[in-house]
Amino acid sequence: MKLNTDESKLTAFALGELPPADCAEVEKLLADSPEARAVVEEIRTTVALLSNELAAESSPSLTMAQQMAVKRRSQPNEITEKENPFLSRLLFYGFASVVCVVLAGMFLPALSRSKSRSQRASMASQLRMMQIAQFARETPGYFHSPTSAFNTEAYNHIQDNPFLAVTQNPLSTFSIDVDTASYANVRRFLSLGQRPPPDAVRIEELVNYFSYDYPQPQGEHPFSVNVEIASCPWNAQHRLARIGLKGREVPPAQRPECNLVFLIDVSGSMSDANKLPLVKQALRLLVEQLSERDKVSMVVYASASGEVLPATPGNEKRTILQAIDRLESGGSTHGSGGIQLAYAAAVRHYIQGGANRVILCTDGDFNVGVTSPGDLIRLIREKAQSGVFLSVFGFGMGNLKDGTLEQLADRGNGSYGYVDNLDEARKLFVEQLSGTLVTIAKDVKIQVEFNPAQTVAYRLIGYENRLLLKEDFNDDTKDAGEIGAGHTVTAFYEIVPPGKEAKLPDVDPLKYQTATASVPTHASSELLTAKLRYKLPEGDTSRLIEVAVSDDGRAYAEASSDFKFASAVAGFGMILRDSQHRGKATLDAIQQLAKEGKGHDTIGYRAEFLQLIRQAKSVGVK
Amino acid sequence: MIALDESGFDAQTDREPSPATLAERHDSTGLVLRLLKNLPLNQQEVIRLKFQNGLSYEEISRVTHLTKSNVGFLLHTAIKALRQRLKAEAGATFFNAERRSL
Repeated sequence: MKLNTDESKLTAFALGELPPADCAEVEKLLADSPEARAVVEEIRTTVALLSNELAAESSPSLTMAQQMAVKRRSQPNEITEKENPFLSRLLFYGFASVVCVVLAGMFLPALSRSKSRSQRASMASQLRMMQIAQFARETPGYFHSPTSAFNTEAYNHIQDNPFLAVTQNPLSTFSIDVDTASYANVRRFLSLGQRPPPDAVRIEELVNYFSYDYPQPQGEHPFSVNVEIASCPWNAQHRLARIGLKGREVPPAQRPECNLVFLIDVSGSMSDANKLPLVKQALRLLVEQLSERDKVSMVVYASASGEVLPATPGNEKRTILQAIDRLESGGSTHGSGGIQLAYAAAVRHYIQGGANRVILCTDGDFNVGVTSPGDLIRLIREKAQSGVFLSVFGFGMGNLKDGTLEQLADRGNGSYGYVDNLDEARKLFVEQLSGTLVTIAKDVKIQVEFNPAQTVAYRLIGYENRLLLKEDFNDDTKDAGEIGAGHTVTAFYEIVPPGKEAKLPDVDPLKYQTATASVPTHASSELLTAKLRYKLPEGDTSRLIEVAVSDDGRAYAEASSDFKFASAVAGFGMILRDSQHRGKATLDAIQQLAKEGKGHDTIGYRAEFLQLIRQAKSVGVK
Repeated sequence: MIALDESGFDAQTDREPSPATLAERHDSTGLVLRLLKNLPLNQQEVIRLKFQNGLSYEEISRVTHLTKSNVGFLLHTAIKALRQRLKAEAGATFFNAERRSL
């Protein structure tokens, strides 16, 4: 039995950390060996117990790391100095590494090989390593974040969109959504070895986490519209239509002047290592990108709120960074007072033609003052009239009020992101900063008209809480989603073609009207017409784009790699939600599709998605 | 086309644990944490970084200045020790009972 040599690989496999190159070997071993399967089962059970108990742990005893953290706390908060506890930590790990390397060399030749691989780390990851180490060093609770005994996360219920008959519902109307929070949140759950709750999975946010290679807009409109239709991977009888929008790119040099107000939750619930300390680290990344044309103010809120940094030019980085360093948590949360102050600051320094934006960082637990979501949303909607946009960033876990945050961003002309680690902060505040800060179109609505001659029924996948009435489409007073520079937005319709059976809810025939079967006006071969309405960032009147599309009968294999990848992500979402519409979607099939659609993947986000599928398998998602 | 299997259809089996399993699980509450505290401190720390803070091997390696393979090795050793002590403390049937309930 060669189990001994492979056991560490089995551990890595069960944790979803095995390099893809080694996965095939382990999968083969698992197929052949009941013993190996039993070991993996045991590892998963142990890990699940461990995660549960660590999450429920209320008063942990002091570990060495924590003792060091306590020592650090008593020292002045200087970042430039090398700190003694950190040195002793390095010595400790130096010793531990020597022992480990010796052990690894003796017993696990395979591990020594991968060590030399990891030594060839690129400069970029070296830099990231230093930043995380610095973050950890400055963060007393990082090694031991106390989590409360009760998980008080709140998610709004999502009911999957049903199939609708085209004869009764020829129009489908919804608002775009560029939020990505749900994907980062799902990743956080899976990395903890837990299955995310179904209501935490918003499929459109999973799909829109990724950028797709749609063409840049040509001509007058700020974004391009791209429709592709192929057969549906989880139901061979159906067709899958993708509507993809691509916002115009704005290079950093052409970014308009920014008037930013950081609104930071410093209440007691933000003290965890992955909340305020991560907020500070994330804001530092953002500040590094700013120039003298930009202005930054900062408002904090807890039991009281106040402006801690008056408007400061973006090149006075030292002043801004010092204000960020001074942030400390304590007290209860009075969200609405802070919001009032932040909008007032943004309006005071309003830049005509610039990007005026409040950036809210919180775990969303507003527990003093205006706490009913309804009141808070009314307040935000009123503030949005001022022309100031809102970005909401959720941090931390255990207390995250996901539903409130999403609605705030939605009503406040803004977007909602969830920051679970520094890499995510880098994506939002460095790589996609223009998209985060610069809105190129607002109140973007999509209305699709289906041709009854070409389709029997359809289902919009995701966007459940973005649906609009058909009357809302032409109503310019109805709020909808914003699209940022370079953002891509993707939506899928699953379509039942004529002659195929659709599972539709039965409706009684009308008593007072004879249902007039709708007669196609002309025998069009078009499948659908996608109509989009949007307003320019400072405009009040909407403009219209119309795109009519015919189905060229393309098989799935002929679809573009972006189509394949995005549909794999949608399928993954349906599996996690255990949707009744998932059809034949399995994690194995999804993995295959995602591999086929991986494309260039320069930054590695798609590779990370493949990793997520493996983690989902390891937590027992079926 | 794609390798599809039918397992998606009837995965809706009853996942509610039986009262007996619940009682058993209740007994084991805190056991893993107790066992964890007997491990070497460096193993405890990577375990916490991984399962309490949700960091990947890569992130743990950046934070602790251990190589990724060292992190993997420490985690493996720690989980193996926990597994074996769980079996010793809670009986060999422990994993079979837990598997049904999780």
